[in-house]
Amino acid sequence: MGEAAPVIDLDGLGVRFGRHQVLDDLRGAFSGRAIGLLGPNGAGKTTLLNTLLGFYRPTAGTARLFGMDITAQGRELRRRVGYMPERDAFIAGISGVRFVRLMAEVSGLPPEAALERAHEVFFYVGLGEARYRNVETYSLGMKQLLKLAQAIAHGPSLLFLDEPTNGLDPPARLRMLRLIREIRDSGKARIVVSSHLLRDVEECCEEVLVLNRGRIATYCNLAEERRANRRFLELDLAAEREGAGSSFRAAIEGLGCEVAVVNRRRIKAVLPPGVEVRHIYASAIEQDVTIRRLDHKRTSLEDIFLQAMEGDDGRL
Amino acid sequence: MAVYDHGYKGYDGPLMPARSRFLVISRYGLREAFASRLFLAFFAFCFAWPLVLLGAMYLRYNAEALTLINLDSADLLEFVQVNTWFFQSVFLRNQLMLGFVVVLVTGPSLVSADLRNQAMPLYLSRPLTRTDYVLGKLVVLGVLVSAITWAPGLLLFVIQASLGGREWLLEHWRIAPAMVIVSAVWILCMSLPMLAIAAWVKWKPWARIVFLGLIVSGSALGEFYKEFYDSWLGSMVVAFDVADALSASVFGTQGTVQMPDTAAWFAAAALASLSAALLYRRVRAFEVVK
Repeated sequence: MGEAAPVIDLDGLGVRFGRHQVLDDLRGAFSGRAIGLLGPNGAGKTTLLNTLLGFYRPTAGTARLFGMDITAQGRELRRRVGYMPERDAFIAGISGVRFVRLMAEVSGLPPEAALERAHEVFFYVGLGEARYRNVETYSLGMKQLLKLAQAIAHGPSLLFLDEPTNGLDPPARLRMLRLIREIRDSGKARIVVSSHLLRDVEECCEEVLVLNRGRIATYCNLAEERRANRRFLELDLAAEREGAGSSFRAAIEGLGCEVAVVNRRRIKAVLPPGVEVRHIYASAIEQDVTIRRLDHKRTSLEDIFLQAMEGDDGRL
Repeated sequence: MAVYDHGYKGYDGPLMPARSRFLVISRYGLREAFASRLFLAFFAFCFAWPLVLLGAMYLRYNAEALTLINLDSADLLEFVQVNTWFFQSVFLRNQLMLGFVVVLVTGPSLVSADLRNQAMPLYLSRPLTRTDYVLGKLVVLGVLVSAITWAPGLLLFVIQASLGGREWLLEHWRIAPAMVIVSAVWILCMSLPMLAIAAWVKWKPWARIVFLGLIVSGSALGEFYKEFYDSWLGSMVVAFDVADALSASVFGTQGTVQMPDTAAWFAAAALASLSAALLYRRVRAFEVVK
């Protein structure tokens, strides 16, 4: 597994079912610790995950995970992958710990190690007390956690999570998101989260790939976007004397900021490297201007998503 | 990732060889099968007949024991002829019927539950192919049926060979491979259709009913064809006729069914191939609707 290779490298990937082109010419390399796949229903998110997992054969192009071809090295890749499907998926008639142990053993762990890991992941996801219960008796939220447990039991280096918060109540959803962030921050596994819930993706992911009608609508590096947003300020001013606003604007321009005037009381500014918010406050004091409100730009993922979803005719 | 340490950790310990990974599925399948006490009791019952035959074989060569139970050795020697007929018709035919019941009871639960609960993506997202999965399930039925057919058969054969001596062994050596071949063909021709039906029907009771229905309707259709057209062609769809013809062909005896050996082999191969194709069509991570 090439460490320097991108987590996902799409090379003209296309998937067609009969006459229906589900994925079309997907290209790009993604290396974030957590990559979000966003898109409306039918955009191709699950198909992309399934193709990367080797369930569907690409009809055009190819893709690589950690530099390994999904078709030629599928078996080797699947040893390093954990998958949490969107729909209910379990083996009936056995206890939770036995189910997870079986899945770990199928991934290659020796029976003793698989049993140990099964117990550990049950406690990790918070189902420790329910591990001897038959999986059919689990609630929806427990089944989601069970799916996560079986996905991480063999310690994969890449984790595919398909709609991980589906059907969860708010506390369970927060718990699931916390677990995903913990796994991400551990650095032991890269994560690909497919979801139609912008908030979930925003909370866990560093990179976001927005799909629409089987094509990449946009790509956004959320971490960079957040850093850039920190440099973009919106200020509401109250001038104590005539002309103070203009002189304040000139003063911060003098600091190297790009400034745009929205109206007499509101300006927008982009901070250059080396200039901090405290310099703006210092200029305001010097120019006898009161800053009533200072906000960082907040381009939400929703804005990015909506922009990406705009059709050719400008409508959603 | 110890139980007390609630942090995520990867796994970098040893791994089992990839080629034998399908045996994990077989091991779990066998354990599930024997989890039922009813099945365990039935499986134990399957060894009753081989034990009876073993007893008969023992008595045949033990004059002291015969005296003890007041039995005339001449009567027994006349009654229990340990030859090809003994292994083919007295032992194996009965055991194959029990094997059929084992397949009928165990087969559906092996795949229908996995497909009904959408477990296939979980298996196939791991380093496991569809062939591994099918092989793993087939091994379960193979082990169970083998354990009551050719395995005890070989044991009886070895005991008889040691009692009967070299002469008997040289005369009847063909019995041992014949029992293995006939059992293996029977296992494939019963297990693959059962698994295929279970994969399509996805509900255990219905899978059993459909399997039995196909065998019964095939037999009825075949018998009707044979009677009406006075042709052996009807036997092609009668499972037990095919099995009899195959058995006679392998053991080198005169069969009760008037059917060419090649036709019987063709029918068995066609049944196994068709079932495997149907099974493969169903054993997928996801259904693709084109």
